[in-house]
Amino acid sequence: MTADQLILKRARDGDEEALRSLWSQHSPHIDAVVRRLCGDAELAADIAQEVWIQIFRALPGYRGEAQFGTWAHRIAVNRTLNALRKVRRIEKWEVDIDDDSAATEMDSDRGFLAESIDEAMRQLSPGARTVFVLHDVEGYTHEEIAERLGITSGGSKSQLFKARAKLRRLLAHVIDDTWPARNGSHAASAC
Amino acid sequence: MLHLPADRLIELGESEPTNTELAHLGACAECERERRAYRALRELASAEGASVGAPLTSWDSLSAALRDEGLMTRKSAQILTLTPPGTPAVARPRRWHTGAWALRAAAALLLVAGGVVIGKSAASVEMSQPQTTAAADPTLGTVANFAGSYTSNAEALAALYRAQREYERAATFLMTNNPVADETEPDVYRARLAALDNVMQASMTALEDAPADPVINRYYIAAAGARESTLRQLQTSLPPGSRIDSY
Repeated sequence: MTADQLILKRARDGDEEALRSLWSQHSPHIDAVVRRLCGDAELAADIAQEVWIQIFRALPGYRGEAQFGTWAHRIAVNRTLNALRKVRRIEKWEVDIDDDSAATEMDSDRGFLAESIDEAMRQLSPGARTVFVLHDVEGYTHEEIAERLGITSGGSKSQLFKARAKLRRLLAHVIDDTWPARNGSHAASAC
Repeated sequence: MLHLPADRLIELGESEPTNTELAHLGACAECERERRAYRALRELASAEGASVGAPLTSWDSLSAALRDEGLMTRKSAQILTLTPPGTPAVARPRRWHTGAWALRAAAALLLVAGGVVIGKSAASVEMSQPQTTAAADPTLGTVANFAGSYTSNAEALAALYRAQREYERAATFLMTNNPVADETEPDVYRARLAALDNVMQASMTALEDAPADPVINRYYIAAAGARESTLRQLQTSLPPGSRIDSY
């Protein structure tokens, strides 16, 4: 039995130090994904504890097919999305896809530049942020995202493009500091 | 010549252009700039996945909830706790409780802990200060006076364990209420984190040889706990808005 297996076994038995060891080792990344998905520190703090309780509750079902961190990460994502649904943070979010609000958003973005991608992501709509975080940050496929959010993969892709276009504007000074961006208006116009 | 569609440029942030698109990108600086910008955004997003921020959860709060849920049913500290003479027997985990080897292991752990305390204390004493004897130091004098007051090994070990618990409480307090703060702290914490990683790695390797050894387990878990505290200290010592991507 390896050290990790021993700690997991002890954690399943309710051993405090083993549970604490798992939490201590994995909480930086688990807490980070919860924070990114929530985009709100206070809400994220409320959800993170629920996430950890859920992880430990599910521990007897962990069979070691994946690394513990990967397995726990999946639970964290699912639990956070469920919690966000409950607080209606992403309710009707798919409607946003057809919402022709791009021009309005562009006006409100003008002059605002984010200092980091983390800050920029907080400016996204809940739906766009969720899809962007899951796809570009956490590495989920559109099919996986669609399954978790109950949408189509096309809807996921649309939200992702919308998110990237907005982030590109908000982070223009970071990713394109030598040539001002055109506020996302790059269309199929003449060169 | 038309620009590439905006959605296609966004897509090119993560995929390769066709030959036609490649030719266009070679001739159109603006489209090429957009493509590079979206690639840069992808890289920022990937890097974000590896970053961590200030902790959202605290063990005190989480452990209380886990106890309420019945998910945390016993403390590992029990494995090293002596039962005072006359105390009714209680159910305890089979391993790690009985046998002289367990007592020796606990005593060894305590000696290590004591060594840390002594080392920390010694570091704070001016080098010019003459070494004192037990009689000259009130604290050491007290210890010396008690040296012959124990009537059994069990009694002495019980005192050792009480001291160990007291040490752990004091160490936790000092780690969370460090009165010394200067701008070099982040570097100190980074160095400590790197050292603790080495300790964890070494104890992990040792656990592969002796997975049930309680002393090695304690080392591993203690290092993990210290690492967690240090990570939190590092986070709070950074300027507002800073986050830890690596150390």
